[in-house]
Amino acid sequence: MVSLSLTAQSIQMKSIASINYSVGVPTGNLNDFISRVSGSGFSLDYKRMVAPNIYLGGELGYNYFSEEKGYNTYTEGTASVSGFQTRYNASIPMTITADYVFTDNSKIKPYVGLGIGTIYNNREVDLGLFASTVDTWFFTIKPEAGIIYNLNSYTGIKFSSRYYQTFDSKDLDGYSYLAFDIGFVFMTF
Amino acid sequence: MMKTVNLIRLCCMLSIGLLMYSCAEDGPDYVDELDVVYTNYNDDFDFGTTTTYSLPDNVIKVDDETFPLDDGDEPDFIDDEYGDVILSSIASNMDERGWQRVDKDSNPDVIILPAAMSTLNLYYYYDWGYWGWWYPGYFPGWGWWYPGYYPPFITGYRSGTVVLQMTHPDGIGLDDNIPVIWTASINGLFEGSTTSIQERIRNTVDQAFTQSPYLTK
Repeated sequence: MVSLSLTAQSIQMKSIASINYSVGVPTGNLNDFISRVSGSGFSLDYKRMVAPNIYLGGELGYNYFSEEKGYNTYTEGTASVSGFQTRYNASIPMTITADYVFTDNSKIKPYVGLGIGTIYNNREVDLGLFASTVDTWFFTIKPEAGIIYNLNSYTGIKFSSRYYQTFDSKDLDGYSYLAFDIGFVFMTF
Repeated sequence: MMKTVNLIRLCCMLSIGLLMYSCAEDGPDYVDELDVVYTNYNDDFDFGTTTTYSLPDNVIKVDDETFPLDDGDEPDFIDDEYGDVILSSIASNMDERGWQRVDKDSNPDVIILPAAMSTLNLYYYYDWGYWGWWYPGYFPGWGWWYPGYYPPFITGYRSGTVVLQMTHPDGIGLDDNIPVIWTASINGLFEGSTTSIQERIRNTVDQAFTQSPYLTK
């Protein structure tokens, strides 16, 4: 029994690193601002085992949303302005993560995790030649679920979905988006 | 195993599909899409009480003129090929909305002053002295007054801006400020053929009036 337990622990991954292509889907009031799905994104993450099946690590991401709103008239109070508007939102999430990997021995390893950290956010609205920009930092939490598919003992492919929820900052209201990632995984034992 | 392969294939197809749908958009492709029309007005002013307007025969060119001008001198004007389009567009829009054009000395209810400038930085202010040659009852100490609203500060690329100021000559107060009861500012890149610039001027002046329904009688 002792020997079996040792065997099981000895093949647990010590660390998992991945580099991912990320597709962002705006939700909530980010969807009101930009409804287009974003194909401009990536994420990098690294985690180390701290207990059987439990990994702690960090993640750095980037999701760039943009949408042309076309020619419209916007009125506020007595002022009206007409022009071709384009909206941009760049999000750079930086989170500390905790993950639970369900199985270590099979070719497919499902996992769930939670991240806490910050998002550096750059939002811009262009109207004609004029631009209005807001830079801010958000507090964020990020639940995540995914699977790692082993290509061999040390590499694999990862599919994951992350949900970033931010909270109101002094400059902008909080927003949320989903990120669907596909990437390469490197494992050490 | 078969199910796994299918799952991966499905995810790949989904990702490629999303990628193709989601290439980033990077703003306007044509110069006319950079044109911006801004209007603002004094909400307390009753446009229903006014029916006559006056308009000069030239559009002034705001540059680095110093004031006061010598007696009989006039400021620079923009080329007629553009100025005439601005003036005729203003006149046709005013006429369509029930206003009646009168001479500046026939006590018009409002006077519209058109100006054009090319600038890197633009505050919606230019020296009142530009209109001293034409405005009835001109007094050199006058200034602009935007009752109830503030025109914006703008920075941008080198671009052309046409500013229309609808002034109310009867509202000139003791402080010598002339009330600008309606402002339109049209900004865009000064690029393209004469015909295309003329068309953009016409469209944007029309837009300034379209987005100002309170000017309709």
